[in-house]
Amino acid sequence: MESMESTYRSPETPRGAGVGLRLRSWLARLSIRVYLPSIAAGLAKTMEWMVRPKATLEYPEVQRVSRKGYRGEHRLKKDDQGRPNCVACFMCATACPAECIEIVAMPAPWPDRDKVPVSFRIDMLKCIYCGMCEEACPCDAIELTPTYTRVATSRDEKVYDLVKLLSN
Amino acid sequence: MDPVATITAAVGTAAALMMVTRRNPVYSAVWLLITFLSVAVAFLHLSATFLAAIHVLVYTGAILVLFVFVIMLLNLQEDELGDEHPLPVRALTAIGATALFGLLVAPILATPEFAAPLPPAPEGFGSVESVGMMLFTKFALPFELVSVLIIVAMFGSLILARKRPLGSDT
Amino acid sequence: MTPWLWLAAKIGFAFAYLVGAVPVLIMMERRISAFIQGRQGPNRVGPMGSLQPLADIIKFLTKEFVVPLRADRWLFVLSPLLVFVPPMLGFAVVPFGNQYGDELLQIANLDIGVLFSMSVLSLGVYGITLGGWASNNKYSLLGSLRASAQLISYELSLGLTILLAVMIAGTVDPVRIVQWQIEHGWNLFGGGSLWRLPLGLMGGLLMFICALAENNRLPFDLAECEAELVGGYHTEYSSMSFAMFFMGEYIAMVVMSGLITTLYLGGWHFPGITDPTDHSWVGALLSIGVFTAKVYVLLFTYVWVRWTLPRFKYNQLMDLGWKVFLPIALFNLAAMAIVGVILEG
Repeated sequence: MESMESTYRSPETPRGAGVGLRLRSWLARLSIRVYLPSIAAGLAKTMEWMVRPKATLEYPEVQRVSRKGYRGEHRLKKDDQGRPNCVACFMCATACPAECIEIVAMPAPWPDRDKVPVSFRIDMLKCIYCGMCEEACPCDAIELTPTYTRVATSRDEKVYDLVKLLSN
Repeated sequence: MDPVATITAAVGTAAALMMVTRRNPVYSAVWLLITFLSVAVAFLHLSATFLAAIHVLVYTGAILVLFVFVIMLLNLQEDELGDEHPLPVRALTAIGATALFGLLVAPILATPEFAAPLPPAPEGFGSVESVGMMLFTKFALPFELVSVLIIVAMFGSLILARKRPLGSDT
Repeated sequence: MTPWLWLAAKIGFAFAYLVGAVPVLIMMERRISAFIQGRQGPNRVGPMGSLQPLADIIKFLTKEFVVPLRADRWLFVLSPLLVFVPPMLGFAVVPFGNQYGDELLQIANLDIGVLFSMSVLSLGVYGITLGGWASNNKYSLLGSLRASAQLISYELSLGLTILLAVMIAGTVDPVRIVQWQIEHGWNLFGGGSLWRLPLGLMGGLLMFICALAENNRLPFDLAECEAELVGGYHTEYSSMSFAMFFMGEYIAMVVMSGLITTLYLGGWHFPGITDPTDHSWVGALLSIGVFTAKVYVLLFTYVWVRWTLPRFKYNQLMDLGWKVFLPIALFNLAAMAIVGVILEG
């Protein structure tokens, strides 16, 4: 086991050590040479892992609960009358680093705002889920939800429109 | 004729012949394995159970494994095996070996005990206790001498395996 | 029942016991390895994944059996059998339970006892060696070479530790070794004598470690270490022939655990659960249950050790076998002889 020794240095006994320290140091060296204590320690460690709760989730049955502030899919919020909060100010589209938001505006039918979006499209395949749109929005209209699983069968489906975003 | 003894002897002899005649050393080893096993069965049949177990353990379990180990370590290819001896040489060898075998067996065949049926084995025959008793009382001297022989063989292999010849100081 | 029927029944039981252990072991191996690594392991097929081995078997059965070009056909086909059969034979002398009526729950009560197991188990190396050679693959060949050298080296220490148990109990008959342990205490703890306690502990531990090496289990699985030898001696084997190697290895583990149980862990007896004088069917079943429990504790340890310790280097393996275990085992045996004389005299 010479090769073992070179990689696995035994602790040296300090000079002028007392009997107790010498004995303990000798025992430490012995336990390294004999391997069994370290093997027992390893077995104890694996046993601990065996009984500890698993990190893996049983995925389809158990879904991960996203932490607070998780940035998933977007949605557009509505006010208490069911109108979208969005005033089509283009702040989010400007802030978006991925340039995935595309808004078409029209004059608002309501007196409390100037414009409303007629089309609000987010390309979810371009989106990097950074949350800048949410921060830029002056009306608290756009928001990232914790939803992160959404299946699509074509690229077009991943471009969310106004209806989809409002119902999200 | 005792059927078990006959079959064992037939299998053992046939396997031994196959062992000698195979070109491929690995196949020779396999046939030798069968020979050893039939010898062990013969021992068992003669109630020498301890001998049978030790025979399997030592000869098939250790010595033959070493043979196979060495054969495989060399791993000779077909063209490295060397030329076969010409037929007359082989025939002569076979005749010589058979004659020697006959010479050894003839005295045994001539004894009156050989023709008589085997007496039943006494109680405890061939067990660990009885073999051990024999080895350490009646045959103590040969037993110890054999150990000397084995030690000599061990020293011999040690000397052969030395990297530097004996007598050189460094 | 006639003796022949009894024999057939016991052989059938032992066969089912050994082959039936394989799926359980596959499952244990996969689940425990997963648990140790903080995973769940296979749990989709059947309740708790219990049908996973069945799926594995179906997979093995439906795969193609490939004999490599220029492989030695005969030996290539024969060697999986040679791995499979010897451990099965080795189980013949292991008493897996107490008596039922007058019938010992042991297939063959030979007067050479454990020596039979030792000698038969030593034949298992041929399947591995010849299989690797017959594959005509240099990785297989290297694996076989390693396996054969390793098996002969560790067989010595294993044999000596078996002899230690034989010396403590004073008999080679496994039934009487178990009997002796029932009367005096487990051989692992020196059979009731404080003098023999360190020897028994040492012997039991050594036997388990040597059993790991004999069964080619981690940390001694140099014969098939995938990092350097692809799959070792079974690199070229596919479908059922690979499964045979696989099963042979697991069966050898079960048999070895049975031997350790018999020699060091008191066999089928556990105080308070089994009653040695109870020869009814309840007692017989209980004793089989206790034996099985002990065997599976050992098998669990096999798996547990496997997923804990890293593999040795080959020179370390050889050093350990010849320079550490063999001297310790020899010393143990000599010390046992002296202690035996002191205790008797």
